[in-house]
Amino acid sequence: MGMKPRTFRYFFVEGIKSIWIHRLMSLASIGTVSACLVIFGLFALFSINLNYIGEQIQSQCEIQIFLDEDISDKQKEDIGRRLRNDENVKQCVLETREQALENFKKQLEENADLLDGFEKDNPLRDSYKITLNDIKKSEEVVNKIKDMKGIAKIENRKEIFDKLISVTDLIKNVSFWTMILLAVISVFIISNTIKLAVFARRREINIMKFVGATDWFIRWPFIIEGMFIGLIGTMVAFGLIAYSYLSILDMISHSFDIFKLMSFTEIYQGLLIIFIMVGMAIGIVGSTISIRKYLRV
Amino acid sequence: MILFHNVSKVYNNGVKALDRINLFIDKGEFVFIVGPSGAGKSTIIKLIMREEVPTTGELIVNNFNVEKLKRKEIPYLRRSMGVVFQDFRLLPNKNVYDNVAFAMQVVEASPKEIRRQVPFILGMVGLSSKAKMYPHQLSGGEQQRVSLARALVNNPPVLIADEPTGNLDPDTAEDIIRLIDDINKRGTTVIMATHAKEIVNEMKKRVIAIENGVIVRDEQKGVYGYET
Repeated sequence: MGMKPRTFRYFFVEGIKSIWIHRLMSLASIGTVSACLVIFGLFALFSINLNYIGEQIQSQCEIQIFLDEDISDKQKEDIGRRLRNDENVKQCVLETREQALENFKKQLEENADLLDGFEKDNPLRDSYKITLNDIKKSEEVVNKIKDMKGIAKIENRKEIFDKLISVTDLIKNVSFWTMILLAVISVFIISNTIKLAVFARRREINIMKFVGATDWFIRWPFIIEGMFIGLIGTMVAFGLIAYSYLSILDMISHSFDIFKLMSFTEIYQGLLIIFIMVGMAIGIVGSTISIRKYLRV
Repeated sequence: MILFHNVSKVYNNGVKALDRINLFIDKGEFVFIVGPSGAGKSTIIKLIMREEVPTTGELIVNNFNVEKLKRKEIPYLRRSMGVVFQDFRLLPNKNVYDNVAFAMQVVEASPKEIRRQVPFILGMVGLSSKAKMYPHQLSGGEQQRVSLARALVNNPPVLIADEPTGNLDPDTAEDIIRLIDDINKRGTTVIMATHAKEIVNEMKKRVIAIENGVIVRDEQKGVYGYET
């Protein structure tokens, strides 16, 4: 399909003209593309933020390793080194028994005087507090160190972690499959919309065929048209998404601050690129599929 | 040059439209194809245009072996002929000039050629003054002239006309036929399927009559031969 530049200009002009000539159909297609991308975008933002919140929860979950009272300094260091060298461990902090008592007092607040007598005979132990890169690995980390000398007890809040993991995994799975389903539905709706547009123009295609137009000559203006319709739909959808996300961020920042949502500036570039690619692909694939039938004349 | 050799056509629904047709049409001829509705006239036109493929037999059109033609070669066969239909088939969104120029854009002619050739051909069919008008602003006869201009703008060796006067009143029809006759006199082969008895009888050209998918008559300076 060796194509001369002026022919390409012709395709471009024809494609854009046709959007205007069939403006009602174009509007319907643009609306469909936007609607699909808005829903798609909302789900994408939802799962991005779910991951983000998951990471935040994870960084707050810790395993506490209590040490024997009669542990030697060397054993203590060995355990510390082993933990720090573990690739799954994100952070490892030694909490001495004195610090532990202080922290305990702080937690008791006005009742702290209950602990007054214990300074001389501190019943608490030294401990390592670790956080992990991935909470699913908690058992693995614990197994590696549990037989080392000098460890009295390991407190792994496994059940809480497990519940957390299963909930976030479930939500991730659900949103993944919902997005796949949405993508399939979108392509179906859009190719139907374009099919209607092409059906309205089958006469035109037929005329092009009998004056000797090649299939690509007929296809290009439709492809360019589909591309632009996809692009316009993308812009509309992106505007809507940006506006609603910023509104949500604004609302949430006032009400709670346990978890943060991703800021819009962190995600808009990636989102825009995906939107443009998906939008144009939908337009191009849609028009290619829809005219195929009418080219067989 | 068009050659049908033992060409049969059976449609998918089992209808046998043509039965072992043999036919030779030489360069520069003017041929009427006549016969009752459903006799096979349209099938002959469709086979020449490669809208349909022969079920058996051999068909050569302008040096293209039609029954062996690959899909992507079809446009080049169609560029070797101009076609006009009963219903004109103009693009409603384009004006007269663009409807004709369109056929040249399809074959990637240069803008310079287009600017020279389109006004020339519009002059030939007598529509120079209506170049900026749209099909719905024209009479039937004028629309058929546009369609003729489009068919001829690339100087094809063959003009195919499928009932070109079917939607026109007798006077207008006669004008169109005169125009087609002029075109034939300049060397273009003309093949016309028609029901227009008066025109066929008046023109005294070669007449091929088809009935039930078989050629029943093929005579030079023939007549229509059916009651209408």
